[in-house]
Amino acid sequence: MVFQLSGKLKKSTELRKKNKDDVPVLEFRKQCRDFANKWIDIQKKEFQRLGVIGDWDNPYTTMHYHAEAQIVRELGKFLENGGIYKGHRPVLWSVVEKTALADAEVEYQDHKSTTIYTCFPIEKSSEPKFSDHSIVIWTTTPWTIPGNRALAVHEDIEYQSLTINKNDINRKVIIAKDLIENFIKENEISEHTLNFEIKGKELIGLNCKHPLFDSGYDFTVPVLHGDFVTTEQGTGIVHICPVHGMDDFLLGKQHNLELPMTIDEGGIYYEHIPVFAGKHIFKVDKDVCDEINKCNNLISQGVLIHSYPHSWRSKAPLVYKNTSQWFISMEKNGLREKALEAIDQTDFFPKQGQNRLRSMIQDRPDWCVSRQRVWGVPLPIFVNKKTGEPLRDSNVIERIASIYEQEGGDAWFNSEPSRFLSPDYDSNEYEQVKDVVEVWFDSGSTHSYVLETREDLQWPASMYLEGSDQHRGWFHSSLLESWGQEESSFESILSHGFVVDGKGRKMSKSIGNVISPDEIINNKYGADILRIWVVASDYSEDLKIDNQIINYQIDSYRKIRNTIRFLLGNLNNFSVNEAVELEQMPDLEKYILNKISQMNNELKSLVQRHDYHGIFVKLLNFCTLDLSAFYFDIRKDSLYCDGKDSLKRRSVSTCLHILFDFLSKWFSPIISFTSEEAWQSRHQDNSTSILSQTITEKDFTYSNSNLEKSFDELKRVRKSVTAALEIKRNEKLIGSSLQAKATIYIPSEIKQILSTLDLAEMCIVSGVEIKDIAEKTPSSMNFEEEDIFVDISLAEGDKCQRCWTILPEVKDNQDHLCSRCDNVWKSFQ
Amino acid sequence: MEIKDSILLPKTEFSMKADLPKKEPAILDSWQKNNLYESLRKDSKDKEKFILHDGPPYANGHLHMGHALNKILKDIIVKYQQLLNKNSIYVPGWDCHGLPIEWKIEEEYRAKKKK
Repeated sequence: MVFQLSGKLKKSTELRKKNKDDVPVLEFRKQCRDFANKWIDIQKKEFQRLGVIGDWDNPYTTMHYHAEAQIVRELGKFLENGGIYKGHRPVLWSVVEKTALADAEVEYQDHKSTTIYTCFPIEKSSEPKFSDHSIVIWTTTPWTIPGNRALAVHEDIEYQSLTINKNDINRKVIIAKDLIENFIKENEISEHTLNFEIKGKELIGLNCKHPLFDSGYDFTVPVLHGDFVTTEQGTGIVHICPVHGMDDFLLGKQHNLELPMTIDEGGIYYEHIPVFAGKHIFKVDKDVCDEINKCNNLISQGVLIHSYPHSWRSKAPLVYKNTSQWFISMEKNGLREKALEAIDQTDFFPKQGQNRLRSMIQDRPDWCVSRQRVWGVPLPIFVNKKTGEPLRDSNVIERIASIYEQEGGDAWFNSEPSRFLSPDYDSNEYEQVKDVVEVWFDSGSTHSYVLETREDLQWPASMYLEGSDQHRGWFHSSLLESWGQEESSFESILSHGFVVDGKGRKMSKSIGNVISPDEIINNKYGADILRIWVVASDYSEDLKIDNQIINYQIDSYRKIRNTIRFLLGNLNNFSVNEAVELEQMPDLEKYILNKISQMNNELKSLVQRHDYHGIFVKLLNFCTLDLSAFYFDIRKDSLYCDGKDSLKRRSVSTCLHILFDFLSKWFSPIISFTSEEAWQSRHQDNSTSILSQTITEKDFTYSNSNLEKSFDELKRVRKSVTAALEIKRNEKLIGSSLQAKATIYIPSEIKQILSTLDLAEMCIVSGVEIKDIAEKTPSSMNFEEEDIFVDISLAEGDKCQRCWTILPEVKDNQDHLCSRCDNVWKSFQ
Repeated sequence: MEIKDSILLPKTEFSMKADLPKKEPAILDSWQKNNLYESLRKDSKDKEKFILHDGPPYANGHLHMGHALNKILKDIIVKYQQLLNKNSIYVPGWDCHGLPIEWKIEEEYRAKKKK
């Protein structure tokens, strides 16, 4: 086994050895508290800079005295209902951090392990056919061989006796039939002959010598049946070390095997371990192999790169180590069952989260809640020295909790036990546990010190929202913690993916693809760009980010800003008392108002479905397609050139006013800063924030399905005309679209539908002639719409000096104006 | 007056250049100065509550993109609920106990001892 400690971790372990115990616990805890406080202040500012609005003056923390007290009360409930018990069990253990790790702290990475094929010589048995035989095992953890106390076979698996020859040494070995071929190959066996075949159950009950029998391990180990034994790899026989494996432990418990004390918390063999005493398990593989070889029991050794559990923080490989820990039982009080039921009653966004959480709860072992550390909430447990049972007394728990309310968990370390136990119990009869609670219990209990005790909040919460890794973290611990008290803490769970680079890779310093929020927000673009990035991505999957992607968001942002700017610029001289009643407005305005109403309803339902990406796409399309490229394009003429007080221009302004109001509100949760900037620019006399605006059911709704039908047709016609104009512009026949006249050939039904609309105005040309589709000419252009043909010619007449429309009437006007502009101009004189 | 002066061209101080890194901090100041969060709570105290309960980040180190994504998404949800007429309350939290901080402090002690 090759194992490398990172430099940083080496330092940390050295330190622990040298002076961990020199530092007084309370001083150490105070430093930890100060450190956390310092970072809370920094992160608080950084979060606020993102535009996040919240109760930043009164946040909650897991180290607040009240939180620590509530965590004790929650633990007290588990103590009282019998859910907490002391167990001896292998837990995933980091010999580097010298602590047990929670399931949520474990990650799987490739790891290179030494593998060995090792013989366990069968002791003389009543069955003479097994004489001189060895049972062969294969393991990836040679360091666990000193702890071997049994072998496991499966009673139904077929095994064979072979005589093998390797390096001129003959051995009689027992191996599962299905694995022989692989065994012969991997061990470079030159010759082998089959002696006989047996079922696994015939092996059960045999005793084998420990492979290090001649090196001080002079005992035999039994062959047992194990349900978990398969013929997937190895030899179909499993070496059982009850203190360093879960299956091993359970089998050992079933058969009352000894639980040997093998290694200390740092992975060093104890003094009483023959040959290897004082050695570190990560550096002992070679010695173990050599020693087994000396005993003539090593067939071969090799290496295997395989997925192996590591600490997600230190990245160090983990081992199973038998420890005495405090557990919350998944079965006692039906915790597992209740938690599973609660999952069924929770809404998950996206849906897959439900199965994810369900399968984790279904398969998880009991919850190990103790840690041999100091920076945490001390476990409020006193163990009766005579019975070994923890004290389960609510009065004691409440006494501890109320002291914590005033002094925090420090009180556990600086008080005499009698402070918590008297007068009910004699402190001489109890031993005070000095472990702390694992941190997932802290955050899993937030409902009790945040949701339930803060007056501004309520319980259960409407939503928990975190990255998808929290299905095994916070979602998980919150569910178990609260169901220990019979209630669920959330109505819905929303989970999001992880941030990756543009190619979908994890961000890492070594690849050099890390982008920090600070870089985008403060150095280059601003928080609103990052906020757009969040909704422009689909949160249910991993979210990609790189410079190119950011440039897309900047482009989207410009389009939105441009839309808002157009509204503000044209509303500059409009006041609400000039507003026009809806019924007096032109059809185009009614159509746009109909669109606003639709968009508003859609937004409400998208919010319900938590489809914020959908909202953003709809809003962006509304700005670019419906507004900039259509409505604004058409109405520039009216806004710029119509009389300020004309009904039409006032109608347009009224529509822009309503648009501004809605757009600012719709966008405010996304681009909060820009929405505020726009809102303040429009309402300079008023200091209320855009973020305090609401959209209520009473707000305007308008629906007009007839108009929608005619405008759908109009958009088809307009698309064809615009395309035809583009061709003629490229041919240099026209420059501005106003130089053109369009002849449109359409079926009579469409003509009928469009009869109320001014097509020249809608298509921004100086004249439109509508003809029946039958009259189309060979030169007529046809685009995607098969029932629409267009001819473009130069408009007849002179160009109005004010609005640039080409009309015959302009020629006779002394100022060279069209009649509309003439009227407006006269009003100025 | 010339004819072209009779055209009503748009006029606004809302510039096309966003300059967000400069403008955003000023807007943030105005929210804080006006006690936006408190006034939202006061104004919407009779409305139905929506509570997005913050999962606490670990109080250690500057924000990375994952933090930003998480908090922005939360904020967007909270703000949409407020916009749609709820009393949408957001109390941020921090996870403070545990190994990473213990390690940092141990390192600090070690550094001090060397001196």
